[in-house]
Amino acid sequence: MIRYEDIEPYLLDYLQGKAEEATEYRIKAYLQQNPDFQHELDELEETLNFIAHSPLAEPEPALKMNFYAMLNEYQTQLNTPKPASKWEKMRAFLQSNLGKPALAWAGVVILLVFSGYWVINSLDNQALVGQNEMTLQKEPQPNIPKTELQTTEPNAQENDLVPENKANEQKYTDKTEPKTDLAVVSEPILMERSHSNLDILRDEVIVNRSFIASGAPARLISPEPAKLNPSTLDIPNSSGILLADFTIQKTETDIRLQTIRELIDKPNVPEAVSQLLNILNTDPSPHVRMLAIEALEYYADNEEVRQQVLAGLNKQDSPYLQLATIDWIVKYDLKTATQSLKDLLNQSTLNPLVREQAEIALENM
Amino acid sequence: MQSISDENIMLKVCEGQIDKLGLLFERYHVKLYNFYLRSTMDKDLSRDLTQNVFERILKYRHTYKEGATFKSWFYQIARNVQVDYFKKQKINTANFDDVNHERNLRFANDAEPDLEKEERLKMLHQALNQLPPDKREILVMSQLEELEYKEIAEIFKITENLARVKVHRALKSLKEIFQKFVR
Repeated sequence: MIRYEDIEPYLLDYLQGKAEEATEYRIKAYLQQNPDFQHELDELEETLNFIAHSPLAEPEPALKMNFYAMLNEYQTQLNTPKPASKWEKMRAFLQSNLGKPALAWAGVVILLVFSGYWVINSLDNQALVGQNEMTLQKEPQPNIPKTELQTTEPNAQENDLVPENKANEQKYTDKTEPKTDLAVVSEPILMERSHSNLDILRDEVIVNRSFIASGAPARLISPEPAKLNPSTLDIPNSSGILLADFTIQKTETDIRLQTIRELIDKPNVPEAVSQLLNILNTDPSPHVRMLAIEALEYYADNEEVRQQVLAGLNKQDSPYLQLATIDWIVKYDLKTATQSLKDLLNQSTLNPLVREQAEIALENM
Repeated sequence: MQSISDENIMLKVCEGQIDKLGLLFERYHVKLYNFYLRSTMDKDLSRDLTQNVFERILKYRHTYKEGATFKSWFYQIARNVQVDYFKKQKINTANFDDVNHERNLRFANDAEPDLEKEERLKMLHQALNQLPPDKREILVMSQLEELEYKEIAEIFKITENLARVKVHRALKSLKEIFQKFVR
């Protein structure tokens, strides 16, 4: 007598034709004992077939872009030697100069001068502390906040695989907070001093994150005045000067990005397509060109658009754009791309990651 | 042509050939994205979680032991990433309502609308969405990600036999949900 518990682990293998002969025999024997069970098996088989014929959804190209940007950043970090610490520098200096009498005497003199200065200064300070204590009793001092915001300039040197506003990217930490697309972050960056400010900025980034995919009109990152009100930032009014630095300026790049967003909504398709192609081939910023190629996905069912994007493969100097174009080739199965890929592979200065992707694409054609 | 195994590629990554992770990314990112999409029903989140898994692989690449099955190790990381995310968000995966589901269930292949394909995907996602998270996860791994029972057993730290039974029961539950749709 065969029990259900004995055959249960192997039922799916049986339905998928993967069961061993002995197992198959046992299941068939069980079916003879329990003919009603065949109905359940048929239904399970139907469900399996349904799953087997369900296609996989394709992720957006941004996933690939972000991954290769992260990989590139890791490689850069690994290849960059760590700067020597102050101690290491001092030790190296001492090791190389030890035994030179003139230098040793100079060192002793400097040490004595500084020690003397320090002793005199500390005596003066003690006298001043007494005076200040008396002054404080008379005049209350204003409460000067320590919170401050600081802006930093984006790195002028453009890394090979890093878009121009790399400084603004969320760092690739282990946090599972949603990441930003590289293409939608504006240029100035805020250094963390106040959590509330950073949270506001992060909210803005999340809102802007996937407008291309959603088709919704996007906003540039520009915190609303109400959000930047000193009262909402927990910063006293006395820090008004610092708040002025917090204002995010629209740059030329932002304006060009905005143009692309407007083109997506444009009803006149041929005009939008030609403008996007023009941006893709001529815009100086790889960042803007990336957004253009993503926007062109809306018109990817048009063969001419595909060919135009493909034609730009060997003109693009940015590895980002090259990867995005290769992605097009694979995604839309552009058989005509063989020669373009071969030409690309002939470039001696081709980025290794791009080379790898181009080779994979060529292999799969 | 015999392609290089996942395990060998991962060992090269461990040895410092970071760029080789690109090969593993090409092999697995679509599947992993779909793994998350089927669990979370949110394509933006799925993309972020997928990215996060590869970040973790880079960060913890030295924890990969020679001889271990890459796929099991990979999906263990994938599960941890998901668990950590939901812990942070304090969201139960079962709480995704239909509105959320409909809103998020848009696919990147919108450019080539295939109604039948889309309808099939939609139906599968709706049915999976009604499965308890543990059943959904094991079923997705087995039938959609095509992991072997041995690999599933390693991931869930159960016996291979139990993995088989769990997958079968999850499929049975899915079948019952499909039957409700038809009625």
